[in-house]
Amino acid sequence: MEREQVAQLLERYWQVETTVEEEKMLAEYFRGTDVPSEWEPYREIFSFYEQEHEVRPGEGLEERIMEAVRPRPRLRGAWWSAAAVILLLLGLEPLFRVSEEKRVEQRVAVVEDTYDDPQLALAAVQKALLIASRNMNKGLHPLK
Amino acid sequence: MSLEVFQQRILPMKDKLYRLALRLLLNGHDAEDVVQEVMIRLWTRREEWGQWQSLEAYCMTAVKNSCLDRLRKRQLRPVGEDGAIDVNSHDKDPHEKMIAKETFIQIRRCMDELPENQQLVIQLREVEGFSYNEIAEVLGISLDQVKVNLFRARNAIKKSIIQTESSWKENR
Repeated sequence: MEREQVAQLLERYWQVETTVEEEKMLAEYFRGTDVPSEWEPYREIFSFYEQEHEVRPGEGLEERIMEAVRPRPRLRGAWWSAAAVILLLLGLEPLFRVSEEKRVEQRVAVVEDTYDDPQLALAAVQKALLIASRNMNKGLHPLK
Repeated sequence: MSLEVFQQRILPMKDKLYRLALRLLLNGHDAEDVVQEVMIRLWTRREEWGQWQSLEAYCMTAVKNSCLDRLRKRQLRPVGEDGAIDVNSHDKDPHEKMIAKETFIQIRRCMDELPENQQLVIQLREVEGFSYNEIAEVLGISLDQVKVNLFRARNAIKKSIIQTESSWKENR
């Protein structure tokens, strides 16, 4: 870039009339070696902004952000544990079935006939009901 | 799907978001905190991404607001409490890790002393290369205000560096 052109651009730069592209041209010019000494302060300013652009956060920042954003691996672990428990229960299911059969057998044993004579059976039932009714009346008595 | 978008479009913005936060907070640790906070908040609102005109402008505005909140809280907090940061100190500043030229120190000091909006405009235009329209959108000010702030800031920095250079020449 010609010196005259740079002088014009600089003038417009201080008046805030330059475009982003023109400012890039100025920065490019000041990066070169052929800068007159009277413009040395301007070279410092442009090179300061370029250095500022190189400032970066610490390396750990990105990892900390991703750690917070990524789906939690711990949660995935919990799903695996839940699946394992279900599989285990399914595996144990035949054992439960066996014991259920036994329980049914026991219940059947309880309702087996105990009396051969219907008269005796009736008497036994009447006797049981009489005892129950007598006890109920005894229980109600103090309330009267 | 949105995790991919996050990694490709939002995460790469972290550097310029960090630089903006650092300009205002002058403390690398706080600046990283703000960027992390804003990015995670953005992730939780991923359903709304489609409604925003510019993700970048949205992020820059969010970081700016978050920094201004912090600065306000710092002013309320008595100095010294839980090691409150001395705003004028660049001690733990990542800038310090770079080769500090005297002229650069002078320019930075001048920038630090500029009014908030002038600092922001300089950062967005000179360091990040944003257009006037983008700056107006991020800062929520008019185009004219962007230009006025940029005019004042550019000329303040020019004046400060020319003064410094001439005083060095006199001393030699």
